[in-house]
Amino acid sequence: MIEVQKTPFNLDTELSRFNETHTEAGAIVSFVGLVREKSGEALVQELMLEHYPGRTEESIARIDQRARDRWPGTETLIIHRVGKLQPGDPIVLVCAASAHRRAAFSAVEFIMDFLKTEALFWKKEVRSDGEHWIEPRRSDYDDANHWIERELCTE
Amino acid sequence: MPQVLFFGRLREIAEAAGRAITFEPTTKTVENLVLRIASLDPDLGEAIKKPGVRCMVDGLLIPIDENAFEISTAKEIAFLPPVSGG
Repeated sequence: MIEVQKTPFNLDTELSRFNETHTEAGAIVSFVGLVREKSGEALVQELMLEHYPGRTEESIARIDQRARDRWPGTETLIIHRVGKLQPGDPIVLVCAASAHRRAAFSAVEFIMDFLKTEALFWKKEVRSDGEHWIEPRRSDYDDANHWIERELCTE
Repeated sequence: MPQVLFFGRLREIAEAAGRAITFEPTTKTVENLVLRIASLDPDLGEAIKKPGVRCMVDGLLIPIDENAFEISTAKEIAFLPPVSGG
């Protein structure tokens, strides 16, 4: 399931619901991304997350489908916030339920790596040193590319 | 006439100028449209030409310098700066 929402999500509620609907799984892995309090030396006051309604959901669905194709039988949940967020707020929740732990860990990591570089979101930090649009770092592209290199190696 | 959308830093620049992007009969490709935008709003034109900016035509990613793909019948054309989710 994929949700892009302005409203905050309740971690306990979402995790219990996911766990309850996947009692057949041998392993459930979840990841929560939070708004950082600092960016280098600057204090983050607010994070603005912008999206392209409809197309953003499609971009996430493509990433999700690739993860499911790669780890068959894995079920997923992706919730991503948009709008104004405060430091410490959860931005993203990714859960994967699989028969075995390796697939669940890997699927979550794969989805996160591509959410960073391919999902249609734009992030602006309002900080003590001004407003800054955030772009993926070199390391984010490297993380996503590792999966593609591995795909090519196994073909 | 297609609707033209901007996101992130491009949206901010477009809103600051507050100028609607209108099409000319010659605006048939993404390359033409980028030139058209640059003539209406030089700051926005400059920002669109920066590395990493992509164009999406009705959900399809099209290179910024594409000069064959027909866009005059498109519904929605969006300019996307580098993304950052998660």
